[in-house]
Amino acid sequence: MASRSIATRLAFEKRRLWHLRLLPVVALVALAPIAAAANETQEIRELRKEVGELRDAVRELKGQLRQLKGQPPAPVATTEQEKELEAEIRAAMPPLAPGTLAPGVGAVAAAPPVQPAVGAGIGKSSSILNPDISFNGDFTFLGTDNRQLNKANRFSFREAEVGFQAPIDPYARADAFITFDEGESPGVEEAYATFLTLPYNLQARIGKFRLSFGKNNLLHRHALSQTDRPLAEVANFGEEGLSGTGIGVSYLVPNPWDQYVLVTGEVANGLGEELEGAQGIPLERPAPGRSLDDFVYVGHAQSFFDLNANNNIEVGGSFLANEPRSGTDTRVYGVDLTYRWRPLAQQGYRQFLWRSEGYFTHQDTHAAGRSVFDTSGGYTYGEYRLGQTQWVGTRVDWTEIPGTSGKKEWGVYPYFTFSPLEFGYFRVGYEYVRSDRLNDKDSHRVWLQYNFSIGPHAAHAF
Amino acid sequence: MKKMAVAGRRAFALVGGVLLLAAAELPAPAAAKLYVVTTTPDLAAIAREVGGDKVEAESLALGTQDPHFVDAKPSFIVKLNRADLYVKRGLDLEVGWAPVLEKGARNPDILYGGRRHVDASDGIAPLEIPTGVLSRALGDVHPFGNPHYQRDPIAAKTIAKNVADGLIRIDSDNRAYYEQRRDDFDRRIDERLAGWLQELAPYRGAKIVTYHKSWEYFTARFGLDSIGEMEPKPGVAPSPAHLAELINLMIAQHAKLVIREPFYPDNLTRVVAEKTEATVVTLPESPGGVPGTDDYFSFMDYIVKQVAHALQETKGR
Repeated sequence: MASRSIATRLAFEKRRLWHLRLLPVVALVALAPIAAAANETQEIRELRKEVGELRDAVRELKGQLRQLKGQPPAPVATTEQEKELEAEIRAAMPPLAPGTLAPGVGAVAAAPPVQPAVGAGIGKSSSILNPDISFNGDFTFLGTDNRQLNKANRFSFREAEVGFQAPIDPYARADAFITFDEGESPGVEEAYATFLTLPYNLQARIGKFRLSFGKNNLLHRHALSQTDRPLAEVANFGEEGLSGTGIGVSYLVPNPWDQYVLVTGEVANGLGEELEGAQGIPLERPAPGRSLDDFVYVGHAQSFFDLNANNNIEVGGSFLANEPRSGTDTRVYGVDLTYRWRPLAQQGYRQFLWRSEGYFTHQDTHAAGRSVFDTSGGYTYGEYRLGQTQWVGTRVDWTEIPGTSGKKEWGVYPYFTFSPLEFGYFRVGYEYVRSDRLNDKDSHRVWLQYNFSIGPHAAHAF
Repeated sequence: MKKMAVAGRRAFALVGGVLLLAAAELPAPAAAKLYVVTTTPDLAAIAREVGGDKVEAESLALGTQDPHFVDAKPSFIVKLNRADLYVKRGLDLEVGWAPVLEKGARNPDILYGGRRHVDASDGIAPLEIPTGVLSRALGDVHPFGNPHYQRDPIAAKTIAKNVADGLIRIDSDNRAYYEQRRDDFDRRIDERLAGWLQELAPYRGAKIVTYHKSWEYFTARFGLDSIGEMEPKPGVAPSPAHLAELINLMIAQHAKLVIREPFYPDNLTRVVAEKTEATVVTLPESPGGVPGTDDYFSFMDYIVKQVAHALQETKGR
């Protein structure tokens, strides 16, 4: 980088020299007829003086160019002679930073010299007209004594996600995320337009998006606090969580207390499509010729309370219904609660987060014999930020498996995350799971994960 | 058929419920003052100077908070929803948190290009615009230049101009009032700047170290020489190898002052200061960062006095 910077500067100085070299010639040509005149005016004398000064400046800059070519990129101790030379050159060059201070008492500092205000006041995007393009890579290793598990005892480039994000027009923006899961065909994780300028505090989404059920489900995998999704979420919505193709409307509810209350309603294609691969829920695609019955309806209400500057609580309630003409009727109710502590006065990198979600599922398979199953499950985790780069946390899971009678699984999962910057992190975790759906009920799992993002990936929701 | 009817009713109930809620929207109370929401406290302080008794200005970030990493709390969405004017520092300082809030606010006029949107960096000559290949290998670098211009009093005049322009856009009846207050702010800045320059004049050229690359405008304005940072690259936590290098540099160049903001860890700055016989001074990023610095002038007074005092202390070491 430093060598490139020097090279850039050299090129810049060369261009400057080229122009300056021409200046005396141009000036002399312009002055020649006048100089021939018998009486030399004051103006000519001044011009000649300027030409002389310019010639000196050219000579000095040539010297500087030679110096720069011979200098290493890192700052080194300079001799007095070099310092003087640098000072002379600096005086000859246009100022690069506001530093020309009027000396003496009562002096008012000069305004900073104007640099090209690239980006100042414009869209502040890293690209012009092109969408922001980002890439996220998720590399994992799952070591386990249970070989039934998907991707057990192997390194896995679990997911590559390419994101495209940009305003569509003054009224809407688009967000699209294409995922390449190892061993699977590329898929659209999300691709939707958000309409930002609707009246009455409304906002709408159209496309494929993560459905607004609970808190964790809204997060992309790379933004999760743990390497995998909680057992209860997987049991209800699958390893990828719940997303759907449809429309959604959200409403920021005005209230006299200026309290954040957001109500969301979404309609998407049926669970048969959305839950492909989910564990525990029969995979029955809607029959050809859809009706309103086949859609899945999701409602979510969310509120947020600032207890004080350092503490806040977020609560939410969710509802999902899908009663297709053929197949399993499903209703899921959810509650979520998040508490955050983040001291702002000192050591702002300390942080504690506690999040819990509960799922209450009712299913009717319409099968002969027992067809109605009411199950529940949930998770809770606490996470403490040790400093600028380190997090430690533990998640506890417990869930009944939807669509079964009495089958359960539970687990405990301590983990540690190290993130030098917000664009990449290492995570190591140990997970113990006892599951009634595995032949060998007890399993020990060690997760190693490295996740990285490149490009301008927009911030995730709080 | 029955199920279809149930599903249909549910759909209508969903839409109807949303519409009913919309219809029941409470009328906003008649606002006596314009509600100005800013991302950082320096902007709110200057908005109060310019807006006087015609505005109520509130910052989302606190003065004690690192403005790069503010939690995008949903309660901020409510504030932006109500905002008559939204002022941000710009130059991508808030890129990690403000866009989520702007998107959720359902206040189209505060979005970029809207008449209630003010980018305070308009007209600022940014320092340290990266050249060459730009990547995260440089750390958490700001592509449009260093956004920490708030400690340059001349830049504060530009902020005041941008805020005044925004207020006039939405409240042109009071144009003369805002213009007069902006001019008055400019005049007071010029007067106080003379004093601040005088106070720091004896230390012109003094070498200092900062935790983050956030003092470049201040050092340029007041003639100090920032020779390095605790962070090896912007946003990257200090490493032992880098700190060892920094200590040697400080000893070689006789740098005796380390400046850190309150939100940065102090343990490593103490170690560096002990090794180099330097003084550590903790200074706010924005007004309100330490008690008694709620307005822009007391904020700058505090910084200048603390720096002058610390540099005086280190003389002769």
